Amino acid sequence: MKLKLILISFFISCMVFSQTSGVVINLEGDPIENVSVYIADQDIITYTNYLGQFSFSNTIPENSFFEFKKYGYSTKLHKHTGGKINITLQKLHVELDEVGIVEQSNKLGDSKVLSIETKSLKNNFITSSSLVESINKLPGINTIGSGLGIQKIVIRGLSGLRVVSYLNGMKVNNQQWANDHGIGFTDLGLSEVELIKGASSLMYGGEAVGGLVFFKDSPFIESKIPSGYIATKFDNSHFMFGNQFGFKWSINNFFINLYGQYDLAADYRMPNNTYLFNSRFRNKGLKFSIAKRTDNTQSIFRYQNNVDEVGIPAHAHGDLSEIDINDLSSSELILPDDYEATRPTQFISNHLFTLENTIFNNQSKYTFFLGHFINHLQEYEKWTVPGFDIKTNNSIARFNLKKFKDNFTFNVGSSFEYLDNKNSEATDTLTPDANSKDIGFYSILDFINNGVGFNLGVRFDHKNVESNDVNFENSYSSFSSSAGFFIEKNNHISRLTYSSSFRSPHFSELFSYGLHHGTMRFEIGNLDLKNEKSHQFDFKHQWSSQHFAFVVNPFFQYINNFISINPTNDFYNNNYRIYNYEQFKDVILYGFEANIHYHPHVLHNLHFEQSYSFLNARNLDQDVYLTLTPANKIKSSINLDLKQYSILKISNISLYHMFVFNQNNVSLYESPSDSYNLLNFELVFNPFKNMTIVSGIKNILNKEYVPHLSRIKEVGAGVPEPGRSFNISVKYDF
Amino acid sequence: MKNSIMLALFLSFFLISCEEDDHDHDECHECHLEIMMADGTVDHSHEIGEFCGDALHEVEENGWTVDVAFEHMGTTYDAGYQFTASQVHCEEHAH
Repeated sequence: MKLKLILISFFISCMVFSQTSGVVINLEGDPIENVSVYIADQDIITYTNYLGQFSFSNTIPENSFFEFKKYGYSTKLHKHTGGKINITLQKLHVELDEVGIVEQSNKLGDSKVLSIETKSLKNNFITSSSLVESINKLPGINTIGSGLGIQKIVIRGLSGLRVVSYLNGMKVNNQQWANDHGIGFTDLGLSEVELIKGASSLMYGGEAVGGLVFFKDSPFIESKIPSGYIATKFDNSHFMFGNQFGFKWSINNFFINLYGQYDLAADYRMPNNTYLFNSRFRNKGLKFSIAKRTDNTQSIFRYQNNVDEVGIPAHAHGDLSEIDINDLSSSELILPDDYEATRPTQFISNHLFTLENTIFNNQSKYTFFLGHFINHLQEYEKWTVPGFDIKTNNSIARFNLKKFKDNFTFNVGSSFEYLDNKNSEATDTLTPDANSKDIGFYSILDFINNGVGFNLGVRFDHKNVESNDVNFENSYSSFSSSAGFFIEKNNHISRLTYSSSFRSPHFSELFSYGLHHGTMRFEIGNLDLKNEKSHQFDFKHQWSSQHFAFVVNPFFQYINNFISINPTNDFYNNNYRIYNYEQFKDVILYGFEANIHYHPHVLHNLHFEQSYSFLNARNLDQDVYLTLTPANKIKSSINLDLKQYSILKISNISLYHMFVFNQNNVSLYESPSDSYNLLNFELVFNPFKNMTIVSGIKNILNKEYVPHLSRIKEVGAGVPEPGRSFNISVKYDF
Repeated sequence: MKNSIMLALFLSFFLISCEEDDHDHDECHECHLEIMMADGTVDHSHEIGEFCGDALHEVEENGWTVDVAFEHMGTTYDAGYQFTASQVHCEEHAH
């Protein structure tokens, strides 16, 4: 009965002419204009006017978190306790928000008790060549890929099925087990990514043994005046053209966001001035979100379609080490022919639907989430017959109740997930038709008071995997848990987190039997695989003052029954090496990440940032290193902020340097990789009001380098990444 | 009004640039054979000509039958000899 009442109240929209308002000032009492005021629970943003005032047309429930942000000021998170809101923001010279210095609202939980890192993606389209390239700047994050066409996120050396991606609350299941299957969407309409290294986020499932990446759309805007942007970019590494638009509008508590994108890229130029054949790609994206809210309810519907046409470069048969790279590269780029899809190519179409209904009151928040994700993947090695053709349907239903009581926040919920893998006619079938059902229950308790807090959570999942094609049915169950403690004193914050998680074997690991053209190998699954279990300890200490900040983050992870695909000495048709799935009993990963941010007192506009990441991963069963362990890295940037000056309309100058150490800690059949330096330069102009131009040079030194995680490192002597290139982007906001 | 016009113009551009791709491919492609040699190596040097439309689909789906006997690396393949679909390759190569 109670549930019925909740559901009925859900869909009843009522107009209430009350509002929540406030003012934002600085320490001197002057109003601050253009501060973004974001309510995380409602996903709505507005901006302060020239008097520092803001208002929302509805009454915002107590216990909602307001996030006040403006560049150059400290970010403030305010727990609403009713009445008018008065906020004072402090001028800030040092910002390390990406690694957790600044408190802010997060979808994945409270950033004080959980080690959550965030990266703004607000202007990613004009400032980065790709979504993954931007996230790769965070310490401990790496990329597996080849050029800009195929890129995947690696967290502390783990990737694929161990890194779970969520897009606006929906799990992205896009055959992510293989390194040639990219992330599946672009930065279109995204505002931020939240990232947990390890499996601390119990709300979103226990399978994220390596980590969880949560992409959030740009919030709805509380404004009757439509706003939006158009943007275009050119990147000469791939001779890539990209266009994007966005549009936002709201009226009478009805909100709409609409976005579109089209990218076209040819083969990329390597440092020796040849072009890696078939590294071309094409992308089309369209998404919209609509929301309706009242004082106590909100419904959000989102749809996104992403269509990719991705060439698979460096495709070769036989012993890959014997391949001559000259046979895989072209001496010139012939346009427009080299924009056209050739073979082998992946044709990918993703559709995402989500519906999120929320009921708020001052002491609790009920969330019902329904999501459906369709991934259609076709790999063509031939022109007219697909090598394989798989459609994956993934449906999720989730319920969460969030209760506030004094300094405690209590989350309890459950989720049900159905995953279906279906093949269509093709020359090969790598994984058979199969489905899985997963039901999970969780409970999480957070406590924060006077600079001390803790987090405790437990989750239980039961998963059933079935395939009639191979006459297989099995169930996998396990508990996941998380516990965290933090203490904050004199600008020091220390946080210790323990998380345990499990990952049940995926269809590809259980059932694979066939040729995988994208990875140029014959893969054989293993029906006897058991749950992979992980235990991780993560300690983070951070300190910030007006001119200096640092973060140090050591970690240790133990994985039991680690599922791995390993090469054998046998070949299929004398052409493709045979790979078997097997399990290692004991695998450990340990290391640390460290960041510093410094700016000299005499020049507040100059910022130095540096991060160092170190990782060691060992397979104790065979006393060898783990395959595809990223090399250690030092990432540095110098950033000169000229916004308050008017020098040739330049608002920002930055220099980015990355030193990657050589990697000699390799497994059997894996070659070591050399160290390299990468240097990038970027200029940001604001020639007119509302117009931003970003221009830059990447790989200034034209360094020929092959990252240790390149998916084509073992082809020939290794296929290099793009050489020196320039890029230019223009964005107009209206 | 100005904003609406700008948005309409951009949407038009966007939709125009989104031309539909297909992979039925009526065009023609040169094909070659993948032949296993006696020493276990694989040779890709024997061209079998250009195939278009339905003929391309036929050779990619069902393989290629030798119409005129030929000799390759010391082995004679008589008329009627069947090469399987997996032995026929029509993908393009770097230029």
